[in-house]
Amino acid sequence: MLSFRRGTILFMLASVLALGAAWRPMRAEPRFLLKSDSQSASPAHFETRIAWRPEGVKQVHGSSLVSLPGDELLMVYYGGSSESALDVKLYQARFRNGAWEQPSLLIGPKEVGKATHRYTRRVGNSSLYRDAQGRLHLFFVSVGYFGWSCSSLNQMTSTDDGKTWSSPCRLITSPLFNVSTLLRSPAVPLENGGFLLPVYYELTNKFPEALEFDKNGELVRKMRMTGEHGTLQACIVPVSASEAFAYERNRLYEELPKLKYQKTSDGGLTWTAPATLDVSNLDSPVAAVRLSTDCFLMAYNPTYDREILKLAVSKNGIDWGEVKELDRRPLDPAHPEIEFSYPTFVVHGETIDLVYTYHREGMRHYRFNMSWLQEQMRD
Amino acid sequence: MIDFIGLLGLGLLQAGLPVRLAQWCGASRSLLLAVLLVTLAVCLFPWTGYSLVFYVRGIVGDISVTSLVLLLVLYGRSLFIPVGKHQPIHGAVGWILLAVLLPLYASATGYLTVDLYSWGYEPQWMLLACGLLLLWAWQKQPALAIAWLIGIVSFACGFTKSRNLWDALFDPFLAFAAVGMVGNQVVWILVRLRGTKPVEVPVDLRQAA
Repeated sequence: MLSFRRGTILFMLASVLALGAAWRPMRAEPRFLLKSDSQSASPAHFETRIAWRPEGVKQVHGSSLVSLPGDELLMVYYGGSSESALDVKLYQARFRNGAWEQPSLLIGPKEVGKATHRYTRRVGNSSLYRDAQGRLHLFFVSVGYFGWSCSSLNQMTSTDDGKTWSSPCRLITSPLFNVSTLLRSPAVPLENGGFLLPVYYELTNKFPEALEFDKNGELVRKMRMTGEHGTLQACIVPVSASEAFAYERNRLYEELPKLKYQKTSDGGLTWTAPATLDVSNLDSPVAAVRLSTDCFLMAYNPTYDREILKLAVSKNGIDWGEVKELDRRPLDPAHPEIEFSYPTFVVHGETIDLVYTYHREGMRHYRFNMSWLQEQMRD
Repeated sequence: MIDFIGLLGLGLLQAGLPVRLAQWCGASRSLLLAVLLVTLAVCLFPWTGYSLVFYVRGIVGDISVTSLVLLLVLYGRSLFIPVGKHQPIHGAVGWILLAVLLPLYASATGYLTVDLYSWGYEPQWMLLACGLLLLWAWQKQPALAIAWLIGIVSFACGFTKSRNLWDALFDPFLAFAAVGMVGNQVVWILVRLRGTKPVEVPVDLRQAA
């Protein structure tokens, strides 16, 4: 009896100590770091080119883009014989001196599997982010078994702007076998040096989420953006330190084929219920950025087949108007499945870069500035 | 190191079936130990670049610290403690686990609007609940209490790969075990209800009157 009591006292003491050690102070509300407004001082500038797929690769898709010092860009996408083929690997291409260099192999599923000590069959969508310390983070999805909806996230880092990369490590983001966390859109910076990465769940239901990383690139918080189902691939656009819009792909487009959006006023901790914008959306992700206090820019597909890609602008992030049609499938029966999809923006200084999947044969790259955009808006 | 613990946990899980089979066949303790070690070696050896554990880990991820400790306790019990001295599993354990894990997984899959898993990143309220669970478990199932305590210590010391307290304390295998325990109880209750017929007692009506 005495020994049981002594054991109980020891256990209670150990429990109190353990619970005390595990106690963490509540994290402060995230605050978005806003980029300075894009100016329109230079003359209008517009150029376009195609970054072709690597040799021997049949299809490429799902690009992510980041701007580097020295007017360079780094793009990562996946490519293989088809979207879900077992030979799909991640490739990276660098834009330097006004041209895209030959893409190089970044990593394949086998290497991911060996590094993370897990059977890995496929890799897919990626998202690049350059943090306040100049370190690149590459997040990408990988699947061991079943389809994309059973994906998990992996993280790689580079301290030399993508010349070399760390081994991938698996992020743990779900309690149920750590499956079904996917991504598509870029992260947004926070004032504390961390960043917020939009992700989504799509195994049993579909809903957007956001992961908060601290300045060391460690996952520290997860937010569910809505309990409603049917939206995913949120593109987060901060408008102040605590406010942001999230523009979301509408999976329930049969009900109403319009783009969904949500708004936060507390740094992403809570979001309004998804509402509808007057922008066509039939199950396609969009890219959006805030260029200045009263100018938002969006690239979107207005049709289900993604055979058209358009640019739209808005003064308040809610009311949008088309400014230019960037691409349209030619009326040529030889190319019935041409698509222009998965756009991604990068804004640096006055320059706006846009890349998107072009026929799955490469990535089309548009580069323009605010003056050109204002010209389009006037026209 | 963290990866090794994860791999070891899954290795122990995979070794469960052969060890149990050997136990049913009446194997001696030294033979059980040999079966355990051989199975672990087979599961962890990278036969084709990937070991068997890699394939399992590709689908189920890692087990929690709680499960790892409980597996070690189960193996230790099988190998070193005579069957007659095994402490039985308390009837409420399965129900308590289900009460915790069903809402968690319903929430994680979007069937509840609130995201319970996100609480594990800032686990102030969870730690209070853990205190109550520890108190209860110490009274009813000390092995589970110690496993949870080690899970909390691992989380506090950063020994777990995840920064989420849920991942240290729970996993779907505990949910499967809980379903098994509760299912077992329900079956026994049904069997008893069906097997117990009302006993007819002859009553002398005159005496009764």
